[in-house]
Amino acid sequence: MEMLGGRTIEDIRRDFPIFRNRPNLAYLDTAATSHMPSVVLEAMVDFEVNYRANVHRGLYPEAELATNAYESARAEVAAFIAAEPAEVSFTSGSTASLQMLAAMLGPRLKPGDNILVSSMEHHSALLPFKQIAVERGAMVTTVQHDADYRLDLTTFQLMLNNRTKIVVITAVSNVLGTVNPIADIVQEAHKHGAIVIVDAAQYIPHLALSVKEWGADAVVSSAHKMYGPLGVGVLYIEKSLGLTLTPSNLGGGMMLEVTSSITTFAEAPHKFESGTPNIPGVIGLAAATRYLSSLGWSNIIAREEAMTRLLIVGLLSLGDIAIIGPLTMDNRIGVISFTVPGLHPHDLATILGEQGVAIRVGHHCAMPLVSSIVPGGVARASLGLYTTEEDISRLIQGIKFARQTLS
Amino acid sequence: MDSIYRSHILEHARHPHNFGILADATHTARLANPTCGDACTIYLKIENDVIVDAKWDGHGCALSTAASSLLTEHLTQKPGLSRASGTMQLSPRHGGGGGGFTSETEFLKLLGIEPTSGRLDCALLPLRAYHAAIK
Repeated sequence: MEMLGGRTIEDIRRDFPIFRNRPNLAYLDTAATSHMPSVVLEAMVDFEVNYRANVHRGLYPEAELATNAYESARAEVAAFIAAEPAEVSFTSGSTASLQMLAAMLGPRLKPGDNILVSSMEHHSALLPFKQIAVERGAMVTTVQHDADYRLDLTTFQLMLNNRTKIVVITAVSNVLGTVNPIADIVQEAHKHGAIVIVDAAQYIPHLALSVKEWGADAVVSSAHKMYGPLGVGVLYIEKSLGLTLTPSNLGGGMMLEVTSSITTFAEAPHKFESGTPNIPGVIGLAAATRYLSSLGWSNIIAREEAMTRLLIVGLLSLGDIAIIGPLTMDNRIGVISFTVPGLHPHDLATILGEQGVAIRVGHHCAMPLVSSIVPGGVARASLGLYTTEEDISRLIQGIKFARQTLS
Repeated sequence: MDSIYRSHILEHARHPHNFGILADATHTARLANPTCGDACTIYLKIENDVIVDAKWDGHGCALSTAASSLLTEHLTQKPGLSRASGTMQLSPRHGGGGGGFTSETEFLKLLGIEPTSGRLDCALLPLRAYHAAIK
């Protein structure tokens, strides 16, 4: 029996209320959103029913409790990614974080400058930077993946030059499951003075994250993909870069002084948090980081690697399934895209859904990547802490059933 | 939840009717769903405002294939169907005067299934191509 931090997979499953309420659910869509353990829900409810108040404003005890809980959560989340609390801001998600970064960095671009991206970028990373490139007369250049669905560092090096001002790179492809060599990429990009922005949304639930080891200038992630609530994002901005950025989102809570003629912004991280933040969401996120830490990264990685291998072997056992992503386990996680010859992905997903097996199909918000491989989209099964052998077996049986149904 | 893969849908998906190009079509339109790669071209032969023949070609999921087959079967098996009559009325957003969402509802009745919201675009692709063709 697989153990996670001294706990069995059955124990883990019991932590997630969804599996009590939907006992027939084989949930293989964690890359879209993960489920939440009870401890996350309880932390959020505790705030709502015991000390709900706005933060950094009120002087009454409940407001003090709320502010303390919010700032404690910031410290916990910062520690979870090896950052300093002042380098961690909370947003509504990775999409919002990336748009803020694009808006703040856009004015630095000059005509002819270059933004280097990989072929694996999610639309949330690609589109804001394409937009600022258009506005500033800059270019967006794409480093393509190789035949094994990995990024070649040599190609990356060749495409970097002194006009490269920004590099936008995903740490894990949400389609391919490929883990990119972020520390190496950052090192190369910094030789040319480029700012490196890392999309860690698919990385953070599965692998231990140290922004300091990566050396990245900015890193974004979303709570809802790491067993936390919807509507919360973590925006890490390295201290020295943060000092130089003018906030793009303006409002309450992010300034020191406002007069009719002068606005003085607060220091980071507060200058990047305008308006009332998602306080229960941030408290829930901190609970999710505690939950992950309690299980232990080596245990999580070993368990998910075993399930990933099982899923790949199961798919390959069907004979003619094409796996769209690396076939070896090094630097890959349990996000597994595939196509089934003769079976449209939408038909597959609907038939699987009718049997209680949840996967996602389509372009996965990475249309340039997916349409270059399979125009009609791909099916994607993605694993989480709670994935069982039975979930994977039901997927494999479900694919067989779908083929029988439509043949 | 009732499966949308009922026997008549599967039969039309496996053996679609009226598949091919209508060489003497008077009205034609192609529509695609970029998100799933499905495409449907509707060919109509209309004489004196009456549909006398219909074919389709394209590629897609079982649902859009069956829907294309059933749509063209409906058009060809009701001789004398006016292009502005019955279940195939133009919806206002496609430039016509009647039907609106009702026409999509009527079309789903013709299909005999209730697709989830995520599959509606598949089921309605041929109807929308038809609307575009007679516009």
